[in-house]
Amino acid sequence: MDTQAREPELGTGPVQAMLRGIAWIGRAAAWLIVPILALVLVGVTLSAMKVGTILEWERDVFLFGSKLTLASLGDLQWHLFGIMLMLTMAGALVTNNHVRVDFIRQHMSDRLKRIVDLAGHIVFLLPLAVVVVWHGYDFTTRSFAMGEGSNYDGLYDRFVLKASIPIGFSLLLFAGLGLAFVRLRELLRGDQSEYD
Amino acid sequence: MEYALPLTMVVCLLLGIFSGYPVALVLGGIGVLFAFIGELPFAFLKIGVSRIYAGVIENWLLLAVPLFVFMGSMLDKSGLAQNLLYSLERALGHKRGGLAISVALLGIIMAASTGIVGASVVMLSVLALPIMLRENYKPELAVGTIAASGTLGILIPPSIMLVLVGDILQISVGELFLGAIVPGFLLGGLYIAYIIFVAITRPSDAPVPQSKPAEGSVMLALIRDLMAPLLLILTVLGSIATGTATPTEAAGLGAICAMLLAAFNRKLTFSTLSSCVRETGSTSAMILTVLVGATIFGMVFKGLKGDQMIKDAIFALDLSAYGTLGVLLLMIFILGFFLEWVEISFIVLPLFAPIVAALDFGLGLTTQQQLLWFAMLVAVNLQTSFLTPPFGYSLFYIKGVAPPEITIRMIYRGIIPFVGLQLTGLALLILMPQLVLWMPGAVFGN
Repeated sequence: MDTQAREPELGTGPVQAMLRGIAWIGRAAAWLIVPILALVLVGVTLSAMKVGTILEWERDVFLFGSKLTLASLGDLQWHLFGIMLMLTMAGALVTNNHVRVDFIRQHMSDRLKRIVDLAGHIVFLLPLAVVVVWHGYDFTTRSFAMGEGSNYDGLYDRFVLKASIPIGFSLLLFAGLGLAFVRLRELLRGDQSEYD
Repeated sequence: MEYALPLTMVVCLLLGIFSGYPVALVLGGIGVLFAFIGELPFAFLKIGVSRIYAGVIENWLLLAVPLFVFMGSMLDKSGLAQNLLYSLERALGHKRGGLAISVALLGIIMAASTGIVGASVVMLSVLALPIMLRENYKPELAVGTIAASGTLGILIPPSIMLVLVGDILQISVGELFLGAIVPGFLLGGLYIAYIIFVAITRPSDAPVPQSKPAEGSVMLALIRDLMAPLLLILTVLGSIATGTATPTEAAGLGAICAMLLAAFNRKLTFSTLSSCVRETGSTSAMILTVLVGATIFGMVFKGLKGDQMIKDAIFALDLSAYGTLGVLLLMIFILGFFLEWVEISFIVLPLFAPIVAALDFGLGLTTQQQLLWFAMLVAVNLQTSFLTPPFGYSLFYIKGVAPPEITIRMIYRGIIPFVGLQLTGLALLILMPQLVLWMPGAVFGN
């Protein structure tokens, strides 16, 4: 679990720009921790004050329905958490932050490390991402069709959160394809530069 | 061969993991591939997606993970640890062995900030190793103390590992936190006793520092610097124990508390916040993506009767309850040579949990208590795995920041007595379950 992993240099080109974009999305999504912190603080304070319903209004609003309750704030916390997780996952792949068991890897040549990663992207990442995007899309549209939402005055429109699964895994799919492309090109060029 | 498929799956998993490709994706990828190879219906993987949703995304408890990571990262950057080590050193440093005891105490007290083992071992090494070497401590004793104390943080609550172990074993995280207090202090106490023992029997290993003790009110400074971490620990554990907050909310309060402490120390700048946010994002993605991958793997593994295979294998040994427990712990210990707690918890624990729940130790424990006890044994075991040569991660972290004259062999030699202490602690916990169960029982009642 190396917390000080160096971010690999990406270079220029359209594929690299896409990878940088995915990493940027991950960094941006990490900021969701700040509103989550604020929501936890408000939630704990209100529940200590025994406030249940915070606001009520006439018309149904997207996500919140017709009132803002303690339960909506609680729901919002794990909605933001789920979105944060799904959006940071692919970025962490680009910046090489995922756990590797590296006691054999550290003795590999840079070329072999590239081959392992290229093979891993194709054999493991692509089937996983394709299957999850496929089923996740189905999962989300079904939730939308059912109008699934809270039955305890929490948040409605659950499909928004569920959509984070196919979106997150699509990002992972594109990150995998992009990285596989970069590795393959380095291998074909006989790139000898250091790689971890 | 009834279990050909799950057995192949395990072999492929090991090959994949040891190839050095990210573990989370190896797990998920092998799960998906074997769903096809095992000719499970295509819709079977659809359950995987709803498991990811229900088990990870909709799981409010797991929100505690990024919150605790944020708290730890903020504390790490708040400068509290530096201040505390400085005053501990002033209070204890002029005694023989006092410097090493200061480091061990710092490890115990700052355990709150050490959700990430790497960060805490690195922090302790950077802060304390140069001082200990300058004062002519034997390098082996210095690195052993730092590695062991820095690793204690994943055990002493609030601990991210315990949140996840609680989630996997379906036991209360609040009880798990309280149950970890006595074992944590027991291990810390063993370290300190060992340091005192070395200081008395081999005085040259832990000499009295040459630098003069500072003037001024040492105790006052020490109390002031202890206040901040104690305030934080009390906020987190107190709000859980009194029932004011769930573990997730307690983690949030702890994170806010850490921000206030950093602000108080004039360390809360935008760049600090920004690097904490970045670290939170990447570390929690790293941990939780393994959970996502393990969800798919575990589901397919069970679909191919892999859990039955493990059960059959364990029960085929036909051992007593303690014998079975010993085998499970030994397997985790051995896996700990190669894998980290994240992988072991997510892959192995779900398979072991039903086996442990079914054991009868003749102690009159409820299933919940038995799992709580087992969880703590696993936690101590996993903590030890950070320290065991040749692949203990804490040892590599120290090697990474230590001056070049500290060789990896010195680190290996230095850690061996501490691994012995860990195993002693583990044996005590096995023999006396009350060490774990007493505290949660006293606070929450039975």
